[in-house]
Amino acid sequence: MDAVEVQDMIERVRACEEEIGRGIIGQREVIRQVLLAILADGNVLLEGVPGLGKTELVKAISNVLAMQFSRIQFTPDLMPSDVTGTNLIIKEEGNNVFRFEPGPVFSNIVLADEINRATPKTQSALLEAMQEKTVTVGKTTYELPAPFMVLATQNPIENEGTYPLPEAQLDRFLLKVLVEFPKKEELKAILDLTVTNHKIQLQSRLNGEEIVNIRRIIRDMPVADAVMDYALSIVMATHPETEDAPEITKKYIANGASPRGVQAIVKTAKARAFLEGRYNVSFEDIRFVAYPALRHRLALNFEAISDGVRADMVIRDIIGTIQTV
Amino acid sequence: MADQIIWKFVHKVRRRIGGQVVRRTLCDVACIGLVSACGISFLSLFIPFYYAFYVESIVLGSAVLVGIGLGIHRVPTLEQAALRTDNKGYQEKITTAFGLRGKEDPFSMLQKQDAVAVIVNLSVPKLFPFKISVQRMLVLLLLAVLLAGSNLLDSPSRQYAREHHAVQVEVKKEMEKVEKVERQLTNKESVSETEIAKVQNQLEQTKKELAKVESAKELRQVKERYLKKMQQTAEQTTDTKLRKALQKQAKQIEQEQEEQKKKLAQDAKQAMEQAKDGKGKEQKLAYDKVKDYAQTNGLEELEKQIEEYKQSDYSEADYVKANATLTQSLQNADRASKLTQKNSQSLDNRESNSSTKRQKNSNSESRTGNGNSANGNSQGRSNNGTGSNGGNQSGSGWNRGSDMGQEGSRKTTDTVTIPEGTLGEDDNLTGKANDSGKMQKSRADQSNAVAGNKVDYGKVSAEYKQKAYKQVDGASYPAKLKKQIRNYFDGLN
Repeated sequence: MDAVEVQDMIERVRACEEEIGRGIIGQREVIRQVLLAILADGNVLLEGVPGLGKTELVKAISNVLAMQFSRIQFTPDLMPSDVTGTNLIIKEEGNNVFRFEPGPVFSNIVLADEINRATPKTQSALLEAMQEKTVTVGKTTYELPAPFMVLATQNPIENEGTYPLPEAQLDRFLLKVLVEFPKKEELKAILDLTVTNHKIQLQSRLNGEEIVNIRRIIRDMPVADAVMDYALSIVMATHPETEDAPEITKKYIANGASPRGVQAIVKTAKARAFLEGRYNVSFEDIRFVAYPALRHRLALNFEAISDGVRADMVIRDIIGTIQTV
Repeated sequence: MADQIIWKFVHKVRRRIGGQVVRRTLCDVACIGLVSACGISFLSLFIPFYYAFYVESIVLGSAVLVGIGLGIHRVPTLEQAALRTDNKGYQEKITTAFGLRGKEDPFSMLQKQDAVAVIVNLSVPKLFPFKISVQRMLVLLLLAVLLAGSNLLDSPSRQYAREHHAVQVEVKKEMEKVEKVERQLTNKESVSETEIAKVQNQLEQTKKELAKVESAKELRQVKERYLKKMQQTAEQTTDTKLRKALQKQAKQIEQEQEEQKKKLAQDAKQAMEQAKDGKGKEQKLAYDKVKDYAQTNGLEELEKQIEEYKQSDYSEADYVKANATLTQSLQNADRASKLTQKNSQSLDNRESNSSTKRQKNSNSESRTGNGNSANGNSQGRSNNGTGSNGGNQSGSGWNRGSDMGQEGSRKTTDTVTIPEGTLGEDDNLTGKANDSGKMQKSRADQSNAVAGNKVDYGKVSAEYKQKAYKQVDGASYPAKLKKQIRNYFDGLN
C-alpha cells in the first residue's frame, strides 16, 4: 500500500459521495454519514418523517456501489422466515428434499423499511445477521455475502401499531442518522427532479470487493492515544453511575452507551478521516461521529422526556465538558 | 528520519511553551505575592508590626520561587506539546505521528510523512509567539507601585512599631548586661552566699522588669532603678572585684543616660530653632523632639506648653513660651550636670580613701555598727523634714530628711544610712493636703533603698537637687520663689 493507492481509493469514495448526491437532493450530511457507516462496516438506522427520501437514498447508494440490494417492507404480520428464508421441500431427481431458500436478507445492502412496524420477533430475526453476518435456519448457519449491511428506516411520529426497537437491536446499529426536512431550495430541486420526465441515471463507482478492501485499510488507520482517550472519555461521561459524570448525565441519562458505542465512534471516526484524506483520526472526527454513534445508545430518563431534552443535547453538553488538551 | 524530525520539532515546541508557561505562572504567582505583600503593608499602617517589611520581602521572594517552581511543574510533556501544536489546526497529525515513533507499517509511514510535510512548513516562534499580556504587566506594575507607596507612607502605628522595636533591642542589650553581672557573681567565694542571693534577687527583679518593658519611658525608669540598685550593691559588697564591676556597669549606664539626655536636649534645641522660621514639617519635628525631651526628663510644664504650641497650630506666642521654658530647662540641666560631675569627682576620691580603709580594716561587723549609729541621726532628721514633694521622689523619702536636718554640717563626701525598720512605712511619707483637706500620700520608689545600707551623701544630694530643679521648673510658682528655692538648694553644698 502506498500513498498513491490510498489517495486513489479516497478519490473513488469521494466520487461515490458525489454520485449519490446527484440522485439525492440535499441531505449531504445524511449521505456522508451513511457512507461512513458503509466504510466502517456498520448498519444504519435512518429516522425521519415519511417522504424525505430515505428509501430513495438507500436505492441510490446501492446503485452507486454496484452491490446486490434487497428491500423488506416491515409489517406487523411479517414473519422471521420472510426475512431470513426457510427450508422448502423441493422435488429433485424424483426425490423430495429440503433445500434452503434464502430470504431477502441474503443481499449486500438490505433496506429494512419501517423496521419498527414488525413485531419484536421478526425484528430480532435481523439481530444475528447484523452482528455476526450469518443466518441460522434450523441447525444450519449460513454466511451472508460480503459486504453486508442493513439500512433500516423508521418513522418517529407515527407510534400507533409500531413496536419500538429493543435496546439490544438498537445497539447493533452503528449509526442512527436523522433525516431532516429539506431546505426550500433543496425542495425546489427535488420538485424539478421528480415531477418531470427528467431522470438521473446513477453510475456505479465502487464494487463490493473494493469496499471490503477499503474497510481493511481503514481499520489499519492509527489513532493517537490522546484521541482514543477523548473517545473513551465521551462514552464514560454518558454513564450516570460514574463519579465524575457531568451534571447533565446524572440528571437526564438512565443508562449510558455500551462498549459498542466507543467502538462505533472510533470506527466511524477512522472512516471520516479517510474520507477527509487524512491518515489519522482527529478530535474533530470524534466529535462529528459522536452524535450519530451515541444518540440511539443513550437511554434518557423520564425527566429528560418531560423536559423535552433530546439525546443530541445531552451529547453536545457532554462533549463540551471534556477537554482535549 | 521522519521520527527524528518529528521528535526535534516536538522538543522545540515544548521548550517554547515551557518558557511561556514559566513566565506566565511566575507573573501570576508574583501578582498573588504582591497582593499579599500589599495587604501586609497596609495592615502595618494600622497595626504595629515592625517586621512587616521583612515579611513582605519574604512573601515576595517566596512567591517568585513558588512561581518558578510551579511554572517548571506546569511545563507540558512532549505529548502535550504535540497536542498544543495540533490545536493550531493540524488535526492531530503531529500527535499521531509522535505516537507512531518506531513503527514501520505502511499506514504509519504514510501518516508520519504527512506529519513531516506539515512540520517542515512550520516555524515554532511564529506558531507560539512571545506574548506579553499587557493587562498582567499593568496589574503587576500597579501592585509594585502600590507596595512601594504603602511602604514609604508613615503612620503612628509604624512609628510605634519602630520605637517599640528600638526599645526591645535596648531591653535585650540591658538584659545581656544584667546577665553579665549575674555571671560575674557566680563562683565568687569571697562574697557571702547571703550577699550573692540578695544581689541575684535584685538582678532577677530587674530582669523581670525589663521583660515587661513596653516603652522607652518604662525602659528609662527600669534602667534608673537598676542603676541605683547597682550603686547600692557596689557600696555594700565586700568583694572588690564585684564592686568594681558593678560600679563600672553603673558608670556606663549613667554615661549612656547622660549622653542620651544630652542628645535629646540638643535635638530639641535644634528642632526649636528650625521651627522658628520653618513650616509645618519643622514645627511638627520640633513638637516631637521637645515632647520627647520633656517626657524623658519629667518636665511637665514644658510638656504642657509644647502641647499648647501644637494645639494652637504652632502659633508664634506659644512658640515663644515653649522655647523660653525649654531654654530654662536646658540651663538647669546643664547646671545640674556640672554639679553631678563635681560630686562624682569627689565621690571617686572618697571611694579611693574608703577602699584603702577597707583594706586596713578586715572586720566588716564594726562597719555595720558605725552604720547603725549614723542611722539614728538620719531617723531624727527625717522627722524634721518639711519638703512638699519628697514623698514622690524615688527612694528619697529618708534622704531628703537628712539633707534638711544637716544642711549646715553635712559634706558631700559623707554617707547617710537608711533607717532600719522605718523604710517604706507610710508614717515616713510626706505630701501635701489636697482641696478636700486630706493628706495625699504616695509610696516612694524604694527599689534602691535597702534598709540599713550606707548611701553616699554627695551623690544623693546631687540627685535630690536635680529632682528639686525639675520639680520647680515644672511647677507654676512665681519666678521669685523659684529663684529662692534654687538658691537654697545651691547653697546645700
